Amino acid sequence: MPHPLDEALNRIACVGKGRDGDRRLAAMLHQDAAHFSGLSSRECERVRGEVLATFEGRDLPPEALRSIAEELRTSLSPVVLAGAARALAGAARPPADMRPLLEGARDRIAGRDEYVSLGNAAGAATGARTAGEELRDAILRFGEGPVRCCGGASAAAPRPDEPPLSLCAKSLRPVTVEDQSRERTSLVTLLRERASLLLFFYTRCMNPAKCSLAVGRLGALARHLAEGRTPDFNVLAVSYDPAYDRPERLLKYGLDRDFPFAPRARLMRCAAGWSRLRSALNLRVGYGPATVNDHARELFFVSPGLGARAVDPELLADASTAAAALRDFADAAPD
Amino acid sequence: MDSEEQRRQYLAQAKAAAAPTRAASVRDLAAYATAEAGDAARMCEAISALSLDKQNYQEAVRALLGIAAQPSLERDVRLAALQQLGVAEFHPKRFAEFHADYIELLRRLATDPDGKLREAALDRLTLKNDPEAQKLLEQTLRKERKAVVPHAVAVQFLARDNHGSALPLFRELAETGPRAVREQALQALASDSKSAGLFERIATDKDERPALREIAALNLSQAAPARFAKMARQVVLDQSDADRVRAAAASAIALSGSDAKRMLTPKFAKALDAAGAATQSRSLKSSLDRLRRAAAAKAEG
Repeated sequence: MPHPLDEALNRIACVGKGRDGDRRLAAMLHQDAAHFSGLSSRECERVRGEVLATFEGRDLPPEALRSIAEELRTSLSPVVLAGAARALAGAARPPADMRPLLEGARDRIAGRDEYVSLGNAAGAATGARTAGEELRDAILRFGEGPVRCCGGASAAAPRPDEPPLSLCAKSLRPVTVEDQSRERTSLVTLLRERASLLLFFYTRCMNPAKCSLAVGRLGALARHLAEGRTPDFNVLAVSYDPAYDRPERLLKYGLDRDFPFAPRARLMRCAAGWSRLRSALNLRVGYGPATVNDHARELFFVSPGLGARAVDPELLADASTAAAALRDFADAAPD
Repeated sequence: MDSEEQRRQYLAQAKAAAAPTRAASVRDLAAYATAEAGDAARMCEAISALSLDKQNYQEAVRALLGIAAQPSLERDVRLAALQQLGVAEFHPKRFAEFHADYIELLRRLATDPDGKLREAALDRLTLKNDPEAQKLLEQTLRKERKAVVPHAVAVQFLARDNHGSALPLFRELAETGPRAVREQALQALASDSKSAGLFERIATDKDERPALREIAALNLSQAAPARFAKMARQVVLDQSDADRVRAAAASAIALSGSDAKRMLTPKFAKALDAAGAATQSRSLKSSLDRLRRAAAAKAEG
């Protein structure tokens, strides 16, 4: 019986050329895609690297560009970064705003560089080069001279092709959340109290640029809001890993990151109904045999009327900008 | 490697490090690497004394990579070079330019004809969750290839990655593997809530070895606290069970969270008094005493 990793890699090799093929490849990067299920994190990285490298010489649809930007911004994996570099190196007109992200990735990988052997479009492995070499080559394509950096946050949705969601109270009724102090409540009841910012994370995330940073930033936003300059919101983080992230772990995780625990600022897990919540928000998270194997950075604004909208997680980088964006979302959302 | 063996090795290394050694130059090492014969013990000492200061660093690391990779050199010399490369790695900025070649070297050594070199390489690779190392170890455990390290060591190394894919294999080995492998596999399953049934079965099976039952009880206290609380209460009060296992269960209750501590009622405290009076085992008395004090503190609180 073929190993699931080999099956996933074969699937990449079977993707045809053209616009449909490009879109299929972009969809293969979704962390909740079926071919990632049951793989280890390292195996997921291998698949992602190969998908990205397969874009070499193809057009890059907007969704693929967003995925590439996100990997360059956060990934620590040599194979993924090499794939991202290969995808851009083959692009006819590489977007200028990718250059600072490539440079950031090159600097980040410097102390953990490895030789990476990536397949070409036909599936045969080409000669091994290091991820650093791939990134440097991709940067060279931009030529000399400064490039205006726009690697920062935008208030735009990270998934603009997906419409805002209208969460169904009836289907989410079984969802019970438990916070770091063991207090349990219905998620729907909590969300209906006031506008909420909902971040997803898990305590065993190995990438400090993802969950740890996001929770730290969320805490900074909660402190900013507590100073009373903006209407109140729930600032909530929900674990992707409810079986492991029990209250005592949530508490320690938050304390280690100065999270200002309060009735409106909590770290939580789903005590019941996690699969419903995951499905309702189309969360981009995959699972291996032990725990999460990969996930996107995911942040949602949810109105008291249960309208949900995905938000760029980079928004959390500046607490006052995030607070202003929250106010705008709250004003615009129907109750 | 067990903890006693690790302690012996560490003390031997510390003693060797304390002994005065002639400082080695890279030239000495390069000469040894190309010589037909050499004094291996002296070269090992020289490698350990090799200067890794800023001036010598690049040249030293290149020499060490060359020595570790050289199949014609003595194993202990190559191991000493690997050890010193580990020291060099503690300068991450300086080591950065060598990191890719170092990983490549370790991956080659993972299938070296010499077992100790293989183990040293896989030890270092699995600390980085290297996927190629993990593949070799899983193939070893599934008997799809000749073992690269003993099976118990393979489990220990694979268990380092808590995002790995070996959990189903560990569950299998925890039930059916040979003795040392079962123990390592059970430890590897520590935070696996899906193995709660397995933990409970082993922890309550009086025919199982006490060491295995202790690990299972501790795992259950983390994976399924409510289930553990019920099981542990029965084990602690069961005078026909092994003292060592009862002591471990009592300690685990004392250290665990609120699910277990909820059972620390006055009635249970009284039962603990009776259990303590009935046993001759000092460690069991001590664990029961600790638990009694926790129950008393809860009653007062």
